Amino acid sequence: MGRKFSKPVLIIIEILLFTYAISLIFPYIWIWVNSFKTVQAFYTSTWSLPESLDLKNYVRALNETNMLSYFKVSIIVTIIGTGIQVIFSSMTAYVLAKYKFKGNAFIYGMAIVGFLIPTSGTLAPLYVFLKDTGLFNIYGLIIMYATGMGTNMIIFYSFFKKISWSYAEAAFIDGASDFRVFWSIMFPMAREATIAVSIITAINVWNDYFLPSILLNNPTLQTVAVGLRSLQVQQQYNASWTVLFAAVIVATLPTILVYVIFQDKITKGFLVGGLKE
Amino acid sequence: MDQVSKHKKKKGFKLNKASTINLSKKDISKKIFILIMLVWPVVHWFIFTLYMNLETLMYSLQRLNKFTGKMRFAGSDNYVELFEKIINNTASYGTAFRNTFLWLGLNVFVIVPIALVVAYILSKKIPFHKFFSIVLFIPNIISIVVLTMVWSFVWAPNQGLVNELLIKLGLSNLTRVWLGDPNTALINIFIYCVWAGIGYNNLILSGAIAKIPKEIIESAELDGISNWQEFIHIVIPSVWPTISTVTILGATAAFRVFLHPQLLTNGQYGTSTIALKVVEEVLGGGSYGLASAAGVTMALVGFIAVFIIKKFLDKKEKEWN
Repeated sequence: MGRKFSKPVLIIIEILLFTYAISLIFPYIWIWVNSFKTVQAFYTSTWSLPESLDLKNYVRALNETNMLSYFKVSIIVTIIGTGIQVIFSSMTAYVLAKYKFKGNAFIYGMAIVGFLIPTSGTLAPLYVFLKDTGLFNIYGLIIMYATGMGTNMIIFYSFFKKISWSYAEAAFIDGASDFRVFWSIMFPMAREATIAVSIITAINVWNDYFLPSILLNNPTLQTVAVGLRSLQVQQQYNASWTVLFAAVIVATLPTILVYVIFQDKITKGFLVGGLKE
Repeated sequence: MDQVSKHKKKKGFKLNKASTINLSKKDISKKIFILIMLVWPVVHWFIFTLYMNLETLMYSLQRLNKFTGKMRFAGSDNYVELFEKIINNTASYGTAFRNTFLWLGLNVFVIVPIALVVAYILSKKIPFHKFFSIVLFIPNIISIVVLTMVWSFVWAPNQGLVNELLIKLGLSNLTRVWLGDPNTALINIFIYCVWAGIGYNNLILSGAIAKIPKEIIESAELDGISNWQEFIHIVIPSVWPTISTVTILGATAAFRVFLHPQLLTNGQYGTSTIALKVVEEVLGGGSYGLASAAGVTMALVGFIAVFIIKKFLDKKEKEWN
């Protein structure tokens, strides 16, 4: 713990941190309160409390926008994209950590090189490639997420390195195949890493904006993040802000709920992911 | 069979015929296993990392012939055009280039130090420390689309929180179109980045501070040092490897920044970055060659900048050991 702060310093610190914390929370409360108002009431006063808990804006947000469809797409992409990425990352990491073969170090080096190169500069060839292969759709998006050589692989790699090989040897003597040893013995032993990696990946995929915004062409088949952005752009002309507020609340509620429930696991996951080196 | 006997000799096994066959079967199945496990990740890497980067380099040396619709070799044309645009600030390329470096400074010299101070303060288990660390992390679990949208509501010219507050305080002459004014837009986005960016670095630095051995801190406490001395002489040297990591991550990220200005101002009012220029050239039907030349330049400059920062960080680390 070390040295404690003196009273005056502590008071200043508390005031500053509370101000910062409130600046992070208050906008959502403001949006939530205003989401119950009619557009006229909102324009009359943005600070007053709504006259009643009118859910009209929510009904409109669900009916007049494609919110439900956005949710469906986001759920599908998040589950499949995360699942594939986690499985491929663990497969690559397992083989590289536990099997000696020619090219092992080379493949590991490939993954490291992948981190060092910034990716947004390569957009032009990626765009042409996706156009030529007809991947401007949900399949293309999932393929983009289906990497097995990213940060997640490095996390799994250090995890598998630490797991003793003796369980596997015992299973091999009993005649188990390599696949079986991986799937039934080693992969379950990396449970902690799997949970951490899955949570971060799922949050990142769910929140991703850039890839789905260029890959998904169909305006109704969008992810929540992209759909909200197009709603925001539309509102600049419609000016029915309160409906947008309701949509924002609906769209963020699941993430906030997940965070409140799994807060410990989520921050732990990010901690593991941040310390990949 | 030849292969198998060679293998046998190399490993120096003395085996009868039956077990040789067993071994080879096992070997082959092991090879198949490795192959199946790795084929997709390796192919994915070859397409989306190696091929895309080589192709970017190729594109940067080519130009689209508008009549034939084919790419032709153009030597350094794209690079010359890029540098001319940067120097003359055509289509605000110069501003974009400058901003990328401002972002580097912001990430390295503003966000990391603030996060470090916050992490140190929270490590003292001050009242509500748990609440603060939970709330500060919220921007990392909410989509950047929602975050920037909320931010633009807060700073909106009409009905925005800040302007309404200023009017209430009788300071209506201070109200302005924060994100639509070249004087305030960039600073506003920087404040956004600090506002949303402290939490992640705080989490990682807090993890490192928590691991500092108790004896070190306790013995220092007996010497009666102040908070400031403790922070400078004990905490910073102890967590330097982690500071180094988050600094490198922040520096690399600076060269990829484009979503914040894209979502907050559409890159207008002097807020663009080189990465955003790449995105705009490609998606706006501009020149792929120019976009790729900008991408290559950005990667090179970024690599050099990060390398220099890394050298400096390593030197400091050696001094302390």
